[in-house]
Amino acid sequence: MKALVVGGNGFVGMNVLRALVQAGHDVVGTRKPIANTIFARKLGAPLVKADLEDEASLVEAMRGREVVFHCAAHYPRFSLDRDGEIATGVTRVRRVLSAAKRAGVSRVVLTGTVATVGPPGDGRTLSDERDPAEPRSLRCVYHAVKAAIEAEALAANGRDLEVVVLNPTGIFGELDVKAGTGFLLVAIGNGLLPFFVEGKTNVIDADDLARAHIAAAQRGRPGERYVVGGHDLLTSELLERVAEILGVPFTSKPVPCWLAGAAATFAEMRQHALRDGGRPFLARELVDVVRFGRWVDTSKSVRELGLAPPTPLQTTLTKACAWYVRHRYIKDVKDVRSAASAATSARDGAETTRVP
Amino acid sequence: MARVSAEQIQKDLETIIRRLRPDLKGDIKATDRLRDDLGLDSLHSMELLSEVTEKYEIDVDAEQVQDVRTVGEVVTFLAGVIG
Repeated sequence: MKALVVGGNGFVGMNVLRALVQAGHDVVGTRKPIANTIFARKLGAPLVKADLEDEASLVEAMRGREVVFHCAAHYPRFSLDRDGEIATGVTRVRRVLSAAKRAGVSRVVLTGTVATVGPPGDGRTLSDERDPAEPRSLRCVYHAVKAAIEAEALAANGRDLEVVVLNPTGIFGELDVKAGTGFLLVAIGNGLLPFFVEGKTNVIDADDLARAHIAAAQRGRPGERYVVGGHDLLTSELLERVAEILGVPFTSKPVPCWLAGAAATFAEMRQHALRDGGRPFLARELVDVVRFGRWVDTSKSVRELGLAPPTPLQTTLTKACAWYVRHRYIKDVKDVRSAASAATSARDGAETTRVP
Repeated sequence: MARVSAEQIQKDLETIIRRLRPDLKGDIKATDRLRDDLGLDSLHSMELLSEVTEKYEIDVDAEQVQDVRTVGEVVTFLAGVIG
């Protein structure tokens, strides 16, 4: 396919770009006019400048492309201006969809989030695509922005443009240049996570998600959304496993959600007041994502998109940790491979003993 | 890529730094630390190095540039790669 990855120098975008190149597709990525492209330049696909604030630049980048992967939907950095962030998110996705129509693109695959999937209904234990976002969660800025973007995208599905939405869970893997969800791994590795909020989470490997994007372009039903995930677990289990892989002690303590939320709001207000472009020491969005965390049923994606079983959790986390260590996001761990291999051997041994 | 003087590299760096930090006042000196003096966090620093390596059409590994701390060190690194 002839594809364009919008956000080709971001975490998901680079993984999608790399998967498309490896699968032999004709792909181009977009990058912002000022951006870190040191990693993206090595993926084997050309990068063109395009700006989500400039529809003409998007149309230009999309000309001659059949499929657009929109991996750059607005991610609110602060949770202080709900209406403003929603307006930014909706305006930008509208621009991408309008540009796609003008450029003659036939399909857009939007990278959404599981945050727009609500608690399981009908007596089910796992959430899936049928479950609408919980109204309470939409009071959170991140959830509200993502729900508005998804609704806008699905509403644009029609005769002249097909839209498919993916709802990935917590994404871990290589090329996470801004350490989004991976912030947790980096914080554990650097001993900078004094507390955490216990809750449900699900981990998907960035490579699996990239392959799901390609499958959504090829087999996804227009106007549908697909939950893509890997492994259900609790936050504490995830953090313990990461500490084990990195060979660092796990000393973080659980705190109530309301306390973490208040600390995050304070951190954001302080950072916002500084106006230095830095990030808060704790993002409200991270707390809200755990507060409304979901364990998911991905059977629709497996059935309709033909997804393979997920990459083993240990492999995903080891790969992500190794990338952060190699690029010195995690400073005090020198060799994740030996630590990881010891952890894997111990775990495999323990798991083997449980097999009758 | 033609040879570029250290002075030119520093001038180009200043232009990019001011684009990243339009609020920055005063001169930018070789001894200025990217984070502590110019307020560039690690993501900004990567954007700076990315921009400048694109401008000079050189390819670097992220690992190569992660130890540079000052404007002068960036100039020295780039002069070494280009020269």
